[in-house]
Amino acid sequence: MRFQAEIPEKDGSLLNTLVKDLDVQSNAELLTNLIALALWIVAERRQGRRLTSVGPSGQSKELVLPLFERAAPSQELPHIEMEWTPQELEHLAELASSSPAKPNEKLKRLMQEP
Amino acid sequence: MAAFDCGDEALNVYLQRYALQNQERHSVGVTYAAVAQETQNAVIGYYTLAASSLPKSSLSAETARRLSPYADVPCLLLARLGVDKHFQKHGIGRRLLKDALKRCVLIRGEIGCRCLILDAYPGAVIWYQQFGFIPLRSPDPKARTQKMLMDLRTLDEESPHGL
Repeated sequence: MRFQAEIPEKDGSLLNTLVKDLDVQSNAELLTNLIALALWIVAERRQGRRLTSVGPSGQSKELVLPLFERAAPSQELPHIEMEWTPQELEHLAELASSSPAKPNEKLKRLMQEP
Repeated sequence: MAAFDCGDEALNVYLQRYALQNQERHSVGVTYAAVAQETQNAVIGYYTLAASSLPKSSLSAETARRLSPYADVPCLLLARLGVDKHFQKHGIGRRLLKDALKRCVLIRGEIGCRCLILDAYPGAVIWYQQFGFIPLRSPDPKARTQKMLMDLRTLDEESPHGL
C-alpha cells in the first residue's frame, strides 16, 4: 500500500529527527512502528488501562491524549445535583426578573480587552 | 493534559478523564482550553460551559410566573474553570472568563437564555464578584460552594450599557 501525507514543515523536521534518533531506515519503517505503538495504546485504553512513564526514582507521568481517550471505556462523571434552596431560587427570580445590573468597571474593562 | 494541575484534584481529574467524553459521547458540556506555546501547547487553563435550566416545578408559583410563563427557566452553567498552578496570577482566568462570557452572549442571542450560573468555591467568590456575579445567598462559612449568577442582559451588546 502506498501512503502519502502532507504535514507542516515543522512536523517534517521532527519526523526527520525521529528517523535519525531511532536509527530507522525509512519513513515507512518508522510509520510501521508507530502504527504498532498506536494499536497498543488503543488496546490498553480500551481495557481502561492508563499509560504512564515511570522515572528512575519512581515518579510517574501519565499520558493523556484526547485522540486516545476516544478509545477509552465510557466513564460517567458521578452526577452532582445542584440543590437549590427556596431562598436561592427567590433571589435568582428577583434578579432575573428585574432590570439587569449595570456592568461594573471591571467587567467593562474585561469585555473590552483585546 | 496529564500535566495540568490547578491545585484542585476534582478539576484536574475532570479535564483528564471526563471533559472529552462528556463533550463527544454524552454531549453534556463543552470544554474550552487555553494552551501555551512555550509548554508545547500543553493545557494551562480551561472552562466548561453547559446548558442548564431551573425546573419550573422547583419554583414557587409566583417565582415561576415572574421568570418564565412557559417552561423551565433556561440558563447556562459555567461548570468549571481552572488555571494551572504555574500560570495562576497571569490573567489566564480573566481571559477564560471573558471568552466564556462572550460565548454566553452569542448563545443568548441565538437561542435565548436568561442567566449564567455557577457554583463557586468559597475562595473564588470574591474573584467572580468583582466582575459582577451576584451570590445567591448570604455567606455561609460551612457551605462547600456558593451559587452565583450573572444576568446575561448585563452583557448584551444591544443594551444601553453598550458592552
